[in-house]
Amino acid sequence: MEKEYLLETNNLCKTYGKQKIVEDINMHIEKGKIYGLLGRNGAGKTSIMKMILGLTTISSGEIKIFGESIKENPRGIYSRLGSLIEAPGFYPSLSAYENLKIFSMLKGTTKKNAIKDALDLVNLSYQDKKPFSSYSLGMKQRLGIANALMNEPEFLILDEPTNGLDPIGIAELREFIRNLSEKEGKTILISSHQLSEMEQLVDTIGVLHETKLVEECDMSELAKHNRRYIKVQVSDVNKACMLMEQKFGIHNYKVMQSDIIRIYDFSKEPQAVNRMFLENELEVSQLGIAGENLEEHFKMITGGVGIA
Amino acid sequence: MLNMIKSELYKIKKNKIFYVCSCIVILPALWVIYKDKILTTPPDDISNWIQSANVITSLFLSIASGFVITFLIQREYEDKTIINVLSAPTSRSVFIFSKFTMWLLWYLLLLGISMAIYMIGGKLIYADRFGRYEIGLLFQMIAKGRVLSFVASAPLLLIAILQRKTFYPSIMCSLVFTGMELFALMLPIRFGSMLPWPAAMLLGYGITGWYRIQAVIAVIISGIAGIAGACVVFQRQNQ
Repeated sequence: MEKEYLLETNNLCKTYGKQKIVEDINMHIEKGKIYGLLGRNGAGKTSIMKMILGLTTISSGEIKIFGESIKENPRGIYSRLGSLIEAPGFYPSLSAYENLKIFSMLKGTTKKNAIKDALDLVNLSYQDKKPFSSYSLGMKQRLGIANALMNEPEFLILDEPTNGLDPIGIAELREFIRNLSEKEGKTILISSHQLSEMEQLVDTIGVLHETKLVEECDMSELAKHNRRYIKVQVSDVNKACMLMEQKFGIHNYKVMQSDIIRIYDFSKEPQAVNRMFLENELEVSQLGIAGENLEEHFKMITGGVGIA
Repeated sequence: MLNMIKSELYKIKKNKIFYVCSCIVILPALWVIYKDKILTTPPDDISNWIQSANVITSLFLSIASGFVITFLIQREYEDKTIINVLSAPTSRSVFIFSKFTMWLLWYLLLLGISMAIYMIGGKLIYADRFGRYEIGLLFQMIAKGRVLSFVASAPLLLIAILQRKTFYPSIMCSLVFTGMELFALMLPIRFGSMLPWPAAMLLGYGITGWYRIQAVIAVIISGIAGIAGACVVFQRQNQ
């Protein structure tokens, strides 16, 4: 079945003078899915989001949203988007309600109680008179999300929305975003440094590395291709490695820490490996089958470079 | 555009800078009336009194105006609200024109209040001697001169856009423009009428002939350059 893409970019490039920020970006965000944009600091994630929103000029290339180029019908397209870019910007002396009132005027929001509903969604008080300048980072972030949702957008763009949230807040936001996608059918583009969170949340990932989009794939496909291994923790790693090579002819393994081995060769069952170690007086404290996680995959495709 | 102006008016309610700048303009005018009515003897020649009023209005309105336009633009960059405003979505030209409109509305309001203060004050001080001619002179010097001065100061909008979060370039420029206005009469008229800011002041004094045409052209060019330049620069500016 042909996929319906809500956003497509075609050879999108951004340069500042001679410096390339991103080049030849070909993104495809499927309607109703959550797309995770991964990359190190300075990889160009925010620049791409700003180009999509028209906040930054495009050096070359094209962006299509809802099947239309953003140059042809910007107002019609952007009125169906909601966004949270960088640190949320609000007027410091105004309260949450007053700030959202201003942006609801600009958005032309006509729904009654839109502001109250948006604040309720993020657990901020509608009647609180506290000025924005006195908010904690988490409250500011939640107000930013409320602003993004106020006009009931079809497409949400969230730039590191979990910044400043505590672990419970992060988990709540993850569930919230998941509900927006699954129950309300919203399409979401999200960037984050927290790969463990992204792994639990997104349907598709796009990996930025050295100005290019080096990979774009579904998480379900990634799970199939990520290498599984037998993880074993032993009392004597050197002896264990020697035994595996001599007794089983296993050479496809990796020593991770002083006492943990990953065996990528499944020619012998884990139980057989365990039995062999025990027969040779090795203590096995951990044995199981595991798979490479998103962080390891990220490191692999970026040549060993981590996310931070 | 209407939505943007409504939101600007909503923001002003809790905005101290507008009230402070308004006081900067109104209080000196009130002081002049108080001084000349209560404390000292006013000049016998009413036109001299009107000229003083013109200088005082020119000085304080010009300076306060610089603060107002700087604040209108700079705070959006400083607080990063410009990102939320533009992604609302708000077209970039609407953003510029709505800021310009707010600036103009504030300027005209304060000019109107200043004019009212001087008209009432003139009547209080000079009684029956303050008649139609004097009111006409007040309008020409202050109202006409200040409106042209506003047009000539449009480049402050462009400077405010270019400077983003910083504030001193536009403030310094507004001080320079104000200084040039106040020294208009000390410059040779052929030079004064070529520069927009002294030209605005000279037009208020009613210069005639070729220099009047030259002055009008200078003011108009400055106004167009300021607004058009701000639109062009902002259209291409990365946020």
